[in-house]
Amino acid sequence: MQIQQTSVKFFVEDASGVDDAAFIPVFHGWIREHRLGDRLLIDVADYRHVHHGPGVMLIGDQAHYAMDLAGGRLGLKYDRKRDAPGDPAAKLEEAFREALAAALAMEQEPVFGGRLRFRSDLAHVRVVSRLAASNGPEAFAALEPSLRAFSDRLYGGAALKPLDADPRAPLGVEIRALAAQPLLTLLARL
Amino acid sequence: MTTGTTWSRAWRERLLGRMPGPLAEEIDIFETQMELRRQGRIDEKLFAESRLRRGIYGQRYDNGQRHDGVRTQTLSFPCGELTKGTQTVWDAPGMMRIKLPLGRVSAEQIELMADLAEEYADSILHVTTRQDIQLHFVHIEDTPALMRRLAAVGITTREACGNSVRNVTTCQFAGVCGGAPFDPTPYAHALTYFLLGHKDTQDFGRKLKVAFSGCRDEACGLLNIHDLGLLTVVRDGRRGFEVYVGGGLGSVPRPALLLTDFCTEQELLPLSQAICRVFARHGEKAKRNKARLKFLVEKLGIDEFRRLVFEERAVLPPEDRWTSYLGDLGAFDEAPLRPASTLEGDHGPVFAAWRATNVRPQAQPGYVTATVRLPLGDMTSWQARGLADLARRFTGDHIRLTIEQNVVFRWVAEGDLPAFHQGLEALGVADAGAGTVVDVVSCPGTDTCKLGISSSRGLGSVLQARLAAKADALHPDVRKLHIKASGCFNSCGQHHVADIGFLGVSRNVGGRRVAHFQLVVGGEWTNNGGAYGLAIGAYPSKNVPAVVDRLTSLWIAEREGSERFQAFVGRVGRARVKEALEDLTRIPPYHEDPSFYTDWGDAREYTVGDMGVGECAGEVVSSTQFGLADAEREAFQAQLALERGDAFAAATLSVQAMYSAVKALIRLQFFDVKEDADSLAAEFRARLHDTGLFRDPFMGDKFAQFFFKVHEEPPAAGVARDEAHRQIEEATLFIEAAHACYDRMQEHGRAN
Repeated sequence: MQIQQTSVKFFVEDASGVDDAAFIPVFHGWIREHRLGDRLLIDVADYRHVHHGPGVMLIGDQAHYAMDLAGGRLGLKYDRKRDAPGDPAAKLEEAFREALAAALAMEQEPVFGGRLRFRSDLAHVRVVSRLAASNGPEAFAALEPSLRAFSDRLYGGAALKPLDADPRAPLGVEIRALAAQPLLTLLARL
Repeated sequence: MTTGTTWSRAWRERLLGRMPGPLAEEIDIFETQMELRRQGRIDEKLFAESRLRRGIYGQRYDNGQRHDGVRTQTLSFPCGELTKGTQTVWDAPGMMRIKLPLGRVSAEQIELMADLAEEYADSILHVTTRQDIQLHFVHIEDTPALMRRLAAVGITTREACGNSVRNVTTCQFAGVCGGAPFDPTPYAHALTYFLLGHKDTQDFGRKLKVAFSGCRDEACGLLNIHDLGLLTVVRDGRRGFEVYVGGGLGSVPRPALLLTDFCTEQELLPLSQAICRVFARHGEKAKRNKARLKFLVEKLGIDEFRRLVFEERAVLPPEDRWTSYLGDLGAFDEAPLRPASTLEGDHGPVFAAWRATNVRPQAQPGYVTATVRLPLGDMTSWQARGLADLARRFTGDHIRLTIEQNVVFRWVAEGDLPAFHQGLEALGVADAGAGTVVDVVSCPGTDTCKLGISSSRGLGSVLQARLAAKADALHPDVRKLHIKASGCFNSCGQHHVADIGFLGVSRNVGGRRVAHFQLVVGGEWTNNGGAYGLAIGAYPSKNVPAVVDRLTSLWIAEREGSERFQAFVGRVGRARVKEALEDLTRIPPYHEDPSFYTDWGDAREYTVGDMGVGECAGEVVSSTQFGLADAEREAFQAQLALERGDAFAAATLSVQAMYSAVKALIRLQFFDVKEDADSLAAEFRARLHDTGLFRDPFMGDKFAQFFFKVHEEPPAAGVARDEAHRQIEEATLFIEAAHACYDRMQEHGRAN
């Protein structure tokens, strides 16, 4: 399976009391201060007016980041747009690594006072490239081996299940780890 | 070969046989042009126009520079020096405009665009004020794949941008409203594809916008603001069109003029072709800012333009396509998916509120149109797929996008409305208020547009939220108003034809820039955009919600009887309106409230550079600002003179305002300048024009030419009202340009 666009989303543990307007200055600060290292970050897009939309986005050259509201569940989404190097397993690893690093950076933002936390035991992965993978059992079966090997390595065991029955949606997989572990621990494994 | 090319070619293989041959070939050609550009074998300007004609547009920061609120940073894109146009970096994300003639779209096409938004953009489909859909943050390497996938569902992006015939727009209720003599849909479709790629439309100096309208009195197609507007009429039992030409908004708005009061259906295409030929042959090419059709019509006069068009028409080589479609007009008849039905009973207050504003009965009994209100014209990919589902369940492919950035479903059986509404609720797009004051229209503004000055979308979002929160408490007549916001003078938000319009500008306050909006009142939405409003003053962006509250309250409190807003402004006068809003022009010092120094939805300080303001410069700043304020005051007095019917005084005051602005600027460098007109003009030319200081980065010398023109030909007694009106507009723009020039001089240390 070839992959161009992939996304990974980590969910906020408790979104109640989170002021989503706060993500706007945070993302602007990330651009200004090169908070994500050498990733080229370009601009911030505010889509909070859209129901269950991408929320507040940090637009990048190779990938976008968002405090995403899809499904009504706030989470940090890493959305790889440009083709990453390597095979599908390497691309998945890259997407997880970037998403984890961004989630950690968000948790550390002073404005949230340590109250913003991401669940480390749950992630949604999507292969958005429809050319490579139309959503359905066949594509899930094709992706599952590499994803299972990756999630075992990352989490030490996880349950995988398809996200959407709608064949028009991008191929999506929910990864539920058998045990929660600190984000930093997960990142260190990648 | 780039990875983008690899994916694009993979899509090509996948879609072979599903793309119409000519479209597939055009995309292949464009892909080759991309490769040649990568190799430096095509000039960047030529390539830029090539991609524009494919709908591939630039976006903010694509010059590789971005101010982060503290300083300007270089965006180091991986492509290095490779560009896709002048000062447009290859790798910088851009906008893809998807041209949807008449705003017609099928469920399959919506689904495909949802996929594209998800894969190549930001998962948002943005509906524009000209019935297009735009995707933002698209990489140019992905555009061939994107275009191929569109082609496979019958969509071309050809001539969506560039110097071409843009999307042909048509009233979303055409054929079902009952108000029009006949349905313009098949004619608009025929004209669209007749002019698309036609050899007579390939040599324009600027774009040409076409609109059809069925009704004279409604807003419908907004004929008045289009280069070519076509109104359905029937004469002696024969179908035809009133033809209007030379309308347009932008920095120099002009109402369209009547070319002919009856063009038969047989003559529609050839007459339009002749107009295109005259535009291509006689229209301005060198001076971009004088190249729209409105300037040609103005230069020649409507009588001479008409003579040239009909002369051209007489010698056109005949084409079968002129009339071949007339034998198949019924191809566009729409068949409902569900049987007609009526709705009985009470379905709750939420449904009732939605039905009251978003649903219109069709001419066909038992059917209605339902408008889906999209906030700022945005919908997500999953919402788009949901709308496609609703179309398949309730209406079939009878969906149209609107110039108010919404989606209309036609042929909804009335009895299905509660279930249809439930479907919208599940998608989060069941808000009431379509076409009312809460349904604020906005161009992209500073969010993504390179030309944006203020955040029109940020403002639109705030106004929508605030007005919606108190919608029940608003006076019923206030609810009927239209609010439109543009981020700059190019007027994509169509603010001139709103009841309350806003136009993004900036002001320098204490050495810092502050986002402002000019308040534009007196515009008319109905009668196809029947009257253009005028700006009465600039207000800090953060005060605009208060401006709206104050203005609407003033109207309700002081109007006579049921006097409409436009009539009220005309009766009490702009001075009264301005007076009532005077305190809202004030801006607290930065140290007291820095929030005024950021724009809506943006955390960065609203500034374009680090302005070191010393005491000496500070005095100069004060002096200059004072002079510019004088100029604004005189321009406003000109408006008052026009209101009282004194066109000569209005024109004279406008010119005086321009001289005041000139004097203020010159004094930055030469304080003792002589104040007679010739001296000011000479100094202006030498110090500001010839040095390029007054040159606008996008509009060039246009605003300076406004001044030189009136210096050479001052207004004469007996000047016409329209001429005075135009003079006020030009003076207003000139003063805005003076503000911008002043800012540039400060930034570059060119004062003194």
